[in-house]
Amino acid sequence: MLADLLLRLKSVLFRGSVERDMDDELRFDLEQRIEAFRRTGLTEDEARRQAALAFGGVEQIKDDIRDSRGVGVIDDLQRDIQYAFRTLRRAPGFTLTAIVSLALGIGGTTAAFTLLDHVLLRPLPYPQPERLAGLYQTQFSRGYARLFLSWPNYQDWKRLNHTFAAMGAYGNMAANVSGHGEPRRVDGVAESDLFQVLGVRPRIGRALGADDEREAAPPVVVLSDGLSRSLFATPDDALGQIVRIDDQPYAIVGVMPPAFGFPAPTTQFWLPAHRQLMDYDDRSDIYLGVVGRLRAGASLGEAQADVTTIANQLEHAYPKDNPGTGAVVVDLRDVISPQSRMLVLAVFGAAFCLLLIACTNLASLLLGRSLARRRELAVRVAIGAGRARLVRQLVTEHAVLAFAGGIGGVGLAVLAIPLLAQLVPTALPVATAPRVDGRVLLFAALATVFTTLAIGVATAWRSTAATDAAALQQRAGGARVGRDRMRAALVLAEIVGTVTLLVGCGLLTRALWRVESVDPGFKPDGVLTLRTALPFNAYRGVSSRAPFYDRVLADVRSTPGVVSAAYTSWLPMVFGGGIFPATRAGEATDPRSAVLTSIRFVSRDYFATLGIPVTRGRDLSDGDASGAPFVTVISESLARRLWPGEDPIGRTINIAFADRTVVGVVRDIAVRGFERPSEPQVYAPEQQMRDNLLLFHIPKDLAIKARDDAAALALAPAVTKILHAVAPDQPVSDVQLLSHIMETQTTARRTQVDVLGLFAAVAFLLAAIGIHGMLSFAASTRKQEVGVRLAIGATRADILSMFLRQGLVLGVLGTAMGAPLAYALGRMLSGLLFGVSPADGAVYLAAMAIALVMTISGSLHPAMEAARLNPVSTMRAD
Amino acid sequence: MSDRMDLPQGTLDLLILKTLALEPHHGWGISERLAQMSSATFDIRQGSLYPALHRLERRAWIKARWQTTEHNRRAKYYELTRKGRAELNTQTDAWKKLAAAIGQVLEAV
Repeated sequence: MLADLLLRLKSVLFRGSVERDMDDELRFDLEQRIEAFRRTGLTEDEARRQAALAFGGVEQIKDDIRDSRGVGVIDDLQRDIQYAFRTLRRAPGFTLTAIVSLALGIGGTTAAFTLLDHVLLRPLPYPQPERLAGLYQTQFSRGYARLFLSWPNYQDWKRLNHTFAAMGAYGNMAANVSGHGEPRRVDGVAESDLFQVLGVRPRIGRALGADDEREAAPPVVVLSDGLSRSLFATPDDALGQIVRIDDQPYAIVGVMPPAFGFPAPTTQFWLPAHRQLMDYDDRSDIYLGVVGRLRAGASLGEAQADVTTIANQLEHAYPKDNPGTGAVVVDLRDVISPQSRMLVLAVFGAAFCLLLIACTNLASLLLGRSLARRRELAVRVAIGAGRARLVRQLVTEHAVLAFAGGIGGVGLAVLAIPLLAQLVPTALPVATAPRVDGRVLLFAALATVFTTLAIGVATAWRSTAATDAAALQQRAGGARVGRDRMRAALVLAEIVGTVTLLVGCGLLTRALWRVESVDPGFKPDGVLTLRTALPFNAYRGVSSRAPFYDRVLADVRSTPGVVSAAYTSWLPMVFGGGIFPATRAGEATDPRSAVLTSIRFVSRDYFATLGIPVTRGRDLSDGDASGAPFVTVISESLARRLWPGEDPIGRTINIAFADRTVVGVVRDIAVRGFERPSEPQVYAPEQQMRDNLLLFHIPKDLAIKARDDAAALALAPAVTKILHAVAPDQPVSDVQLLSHIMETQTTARRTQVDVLGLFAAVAFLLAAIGIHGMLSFAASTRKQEVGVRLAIGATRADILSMFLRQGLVLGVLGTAMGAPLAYALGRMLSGLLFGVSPADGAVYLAAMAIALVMTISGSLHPAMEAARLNPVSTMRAD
Repeated sequence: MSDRMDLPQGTLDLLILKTLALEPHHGWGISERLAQMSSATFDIRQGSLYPALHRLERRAWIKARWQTTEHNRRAKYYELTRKGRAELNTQTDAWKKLAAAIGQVLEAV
């Protein structure tokens, strides 16, 4: 055994000397043999000839010896790889095309997998993540499938359920953080039992617990790694320090690890739930996100049934606060919307389509090459190479190509991931960005192996199949293109794939255009916006806020270049919530039929600043002060809902804890953005807010109208200076143009179109290369036929059209076959299409036109080459 | 040629071992000697002989060493190892038993 191993090792390590030994040994034998023949009286030449005949094939013997020494496999592999490199280097054009095709295919798929893995597959970074669930209220009667909970409902769910081992909740908030460095505005949550449910621990310090929620507990906070890094020179210093959050001091007791971001990656701090932060009493005030950890053995279905029963009980017990309220329990992995899920799957599908096209293309290229190499292969079979050996040789060649393509693909994936990362839904509770790691590399390796197998085995087997004596006698170009069905089928598959991707991309583009053409109801041009979110505690009443708003607005309005300026609770699109039911004053209305409206408290000039036309009555003015009669301006749709066909001016609505008289009507705007229906709108004067109530609605967004966007941007430094002068500790955040806010509305769609468009463009390119390759090969193998045709009177135009027709037939056929596939894809994407029909005619026409251009551009060059042939030289060729 | 026979499977190794039992030989010498001893009945091809030699070497039944021949040429000589000699005895016994058994069966008819 040991001797065996040593000999094998020797054979591998000292291959040179072993090979020399073998040569010497065999040469000695041969010489002895010649000598023996010579002694029988033959001439020198005859003796040599006889000896060589008797001896047989030297290389074959050497191969057999190598095999019996047990180094055959390693040796063969090395020689195969060397041979593959040599062959590939001899055809640089082919090699480059092949590697680039593969790199694009593998790169695209790998990048898409990185996204898919990040968003859908990878378990959430918490212990036993499969037992974590998100819990929501539903109110299907009003079209809400996932609503937050109120504190009392949350407490009842937590107390009454039998299926959860623990339940925790959080209320989103944003706060001014000061006391260290520049004051800044950051997102955070007030939480209850959240850390216990998730099972996470801080990187340093401790997590928050039930004790911290006690009435008398000292105020404490846990910071994200990012926030502690930006506040302190060394993040570990944070522990024990005091930080001011909305002007209240909190002791820092823990810093989370960098990868933790719950409920969203943007969450930067966690406060214990506290009466000052949370509404503990109002059952209709819904603001809590709830997560639960299932009891061991309990399923999601059981939990769903359990919580539904509780929700039904609560609906009966509190019909006014819980009208039509149900419950839904989802795996925490699935808190992202079905659209996001579909999009990620579609991107992966597109990428995989690309990989298939790349494989197809390469298979087609290789097939053409192997037909041209038939003679070489036939010769090698004739001198004794086994067929399996040849297949192995060709597969090695493909593996070398695929490996190079795989490496290039990983490189491309690294480049493409930042683009694809924009498709990660913001609701995903993971703080890290998708990146290339072991899992992704493993996937790339698998994709490479898949590619090698897909292209290699089929083509290699097929191309060695015909290496018989007939092929030897055949001229090199003897392969008949008419019989080259497989190649045509491959090109056809590419066209089908390309048409599918083109249509998918076209449909999404149409959807984007349609979204962009939605009238927002306001005019964003020349409007600068920024946020100064006042801390609730210091500004609980109208009178405490008045000095701030009055001074800021007065100074801003007197700044040269400012046309008008106004404060509002929230600008449209930056926040869709802040919903409040509105009823006709004095009517006892069933809460189920109250109209839900988005209410905004604004200063005067709000409509002028945003360009919202007042269609009836009057604008709000400074005269609508806290002592004056309460008034409101409502949108047209609310007027129609409450007083159909009647004049709403002078009527009174009850909303936000007061009766308010309608003095004006404005056009509806897209509060919730372009893609979702918006509630009717109600505007009330800032000074007519109730003290200590609806603090969330305190005006925080400042809008300033200038001549145009450039002028508006130029105002930013001056306005910031004014704000710093009025309130030095008040952070100013989100300084941006209103037109920019509108653009961000369609960023996700634009990314979708970019990504799919990129895939479609690459597919287009690959398919064109495929068609070009096929026709070039056809043209080169049919040279003689072309020569004969030209000789017997065919014109060059005939030849040109002959080859073009071949490409066009494939193009038309591929388009016809691609259309139904594309329709299926469109149906799958219909949730993203914003009403564009999956059978949109214009898109199909455009895709067909592009496919036609692709076919012609791929066919033109080889067809022209063929038509330019000289009949005399072609007939003499080979 | 018609009186020549192909070797039964697995017997080449035994014959090589037997040839080497008397004295070390190079490959050519082994094939010559085999032809001689079998009165040219066996046609040992180089294509079988050399792989077999390397196989036996791997099993450590024979070992090889470069030596000069009587005509002052360098050649690779193979000789039997102790293990190879033991193997030769076992295989010879086995072969004899087998041949006797086959002979009995054939005679009995």
